[in-house]
Amino acid sequence: MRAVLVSVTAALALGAPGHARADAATPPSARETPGEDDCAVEPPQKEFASSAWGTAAVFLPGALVHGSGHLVVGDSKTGLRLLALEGAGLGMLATGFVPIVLSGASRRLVGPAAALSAAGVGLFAISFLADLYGIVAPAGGVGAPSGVAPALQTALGYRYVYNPVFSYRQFMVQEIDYRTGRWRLHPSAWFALDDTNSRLRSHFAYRLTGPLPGPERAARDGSFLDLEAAVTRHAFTSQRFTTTTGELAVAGRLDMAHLGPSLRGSFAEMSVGWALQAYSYGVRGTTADVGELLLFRFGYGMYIGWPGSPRGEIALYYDHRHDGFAAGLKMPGLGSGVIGHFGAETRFFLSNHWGVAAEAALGSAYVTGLSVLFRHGEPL
Amino acid sequence: MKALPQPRPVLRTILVIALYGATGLGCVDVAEERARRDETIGKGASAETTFEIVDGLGAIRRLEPGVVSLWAKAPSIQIKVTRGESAPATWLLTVSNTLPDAVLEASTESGATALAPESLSSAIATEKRWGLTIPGGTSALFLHSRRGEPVAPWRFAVLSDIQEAIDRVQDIYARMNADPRITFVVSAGDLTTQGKVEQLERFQHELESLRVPFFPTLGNHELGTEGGAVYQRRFGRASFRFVYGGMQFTFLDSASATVDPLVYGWLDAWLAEGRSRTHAVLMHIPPIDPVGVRNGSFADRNEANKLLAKLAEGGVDITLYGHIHSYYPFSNAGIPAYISGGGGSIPERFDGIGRHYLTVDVDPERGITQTGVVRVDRD
Repeated sequence: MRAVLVSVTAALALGAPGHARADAATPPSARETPGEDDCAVEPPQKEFASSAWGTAAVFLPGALVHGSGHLVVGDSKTGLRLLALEGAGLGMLATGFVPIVLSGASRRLVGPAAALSAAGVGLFAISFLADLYGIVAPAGGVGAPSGVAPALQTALGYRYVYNPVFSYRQFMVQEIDYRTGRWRLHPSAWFALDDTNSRLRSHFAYRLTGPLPGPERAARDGSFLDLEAAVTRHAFTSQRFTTTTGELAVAGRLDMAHLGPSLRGSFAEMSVGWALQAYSYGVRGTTADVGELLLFRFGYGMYIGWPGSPRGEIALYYDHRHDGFAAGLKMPGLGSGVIGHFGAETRFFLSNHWGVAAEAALGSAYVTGLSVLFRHGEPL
Repeated sequence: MKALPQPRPVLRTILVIALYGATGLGCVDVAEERARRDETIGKGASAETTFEIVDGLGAIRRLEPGVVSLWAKAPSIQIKVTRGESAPATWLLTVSNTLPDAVLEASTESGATALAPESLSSAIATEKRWGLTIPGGTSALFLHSRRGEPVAPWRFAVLSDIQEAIDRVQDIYARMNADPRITFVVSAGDLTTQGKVEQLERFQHELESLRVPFFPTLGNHELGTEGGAVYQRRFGRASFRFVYGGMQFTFLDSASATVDPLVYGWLDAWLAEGRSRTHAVLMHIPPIDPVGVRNGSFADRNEANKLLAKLAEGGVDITLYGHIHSYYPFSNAGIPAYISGGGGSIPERFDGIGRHYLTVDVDPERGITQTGVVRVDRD
């Protein structure tokens, strides 16, 4: 597991993150002449024009040779970095997956090997999506990260969950996200409106690096690295069981401008962890079971909006969790069971205080919904 | 407020990718088609004569005027036959995968038992053939062990996950044949690598040397061809249940790492039936993998718990799984559980098990008295 964490952290750190741009939060139209106040390694805007050839190259041969889009349009530096990222991903995938195959998924190897494989898949996907973003996104992206985290955010929303094996469909969702210094407390609750199902979750995090509340400690960009812990109690009262989950994880985000100027305004995320679950059954004579979960998630997203204006972010992600409402993906054919779920999520603040969040996920269930957000802290 | 620089191309691209991904990844009702197909199994008509195997406990392999061939899915099966007046009265009935001492009783709707089926010879121990004269109207055929239900302790074996080890399966069958206490074999699936016709035929061909019948559900590898339809046409239902010697065997189709809602409906009734019996439940993919980080189990951990809560509430005595190519005795929801994927497919290394099968001893009065592991490669 340690090797995985080191690899993931190294991968996220790829591209000299220490050279964050001073104008990372400035829209392209307001920037000075390229290079005027930037670190020398990265020009502020794309040095190429997006083209149909570049877009086509993202998919062919880019589906196999990541970075092809950038290489075709002449940004070889970024293209090669993405290719290296893909290579790192494939290397991790091979390092993890080959032992799984050769050992028949041995109980002695499968934990770290699966984590390494998943991280490899994550890097592979991120390098592809980065190539796509870099080619099709407008120069400078469509938004910038905030270097300051809000001290308090709350959310109240609705979720529709269609899981054919459960009768619940509608949920009310409440969240509080409170930060003080490097610490974050993020409790949330889901209550079914048409069933007795409820999920209560307390999520804690310690930010090793990245945006914190208060302008005096503003980060250069949105990149962060957190240590996370959470306790979740999910009651399926009508189904006569309850799960209690304790988990630990490391989660990080890297603003992709560190890899190339064409990637400005986008970010990649990855987290890895482990969870221990207790399953208790409301049936006489039963005993509780204990299980484990491999936690792994990666995503790719982009910032939307600029300082002083409505802003937020949107991301696509893969989450290896097999609990929760979306759980793992069901597939026709041979492959069901191992893969987690996919999703998209966005949050967008329309003013300094009010915003909306939306999510959609596909796993064993369809999960979709909206929340109204309220934030308290530094202006947008 | 500053104008945003043209977001349309990137947003459009992301939207297209998201929609394509969502539609391409599939739906959440992946096992429904197989469950619907289960409902049609064991029924057929030809030349104004209909055959229906009660509870779908068999597949009709061949049905043409005067000839019907079945594959049995249980030690005893009942068949309803309705013959039109102009249909042929003389039929040749072949039943494969039966108990070696199986006999056929036939009766008319009124209960008369004078149909007197004529037993014909067969070279295969588990294949029986009869010549029948079927009167017009509805008749009932009842295939069962000559000895009737067991009153003394008996044994069944569990063998799953044979797949590419089909070339070596004969030594497993030889070990089973050497144990006279084994009455039949049940399986949690993965008989083949991809469920192709030729693979299933090969599996059946190899099975001809086994002296007792083999009752399987399907595994995820049987879904490799037409989503399991080929398997179901040849080997019958994926989800079913039968009773033998006072013990109920319930087979669930979990080959897609889930159980279809339709099957959950059947299961409720089967659990109610089995509450007063010794009850074994088999499925291919286990609800919970004892090695959780591997997740060789249901796609949805919550669904796994839902199913286990149901089984516990239904008083199930033992759960038997395959899919993981090793041997794991454990407990789920307080029910003794065994993962046994010892048929020879790519084995889990470093587990010290190798190819194996399970034996389960049943006392009609006391229920399950003992389970054992027979290691085929260790002797």
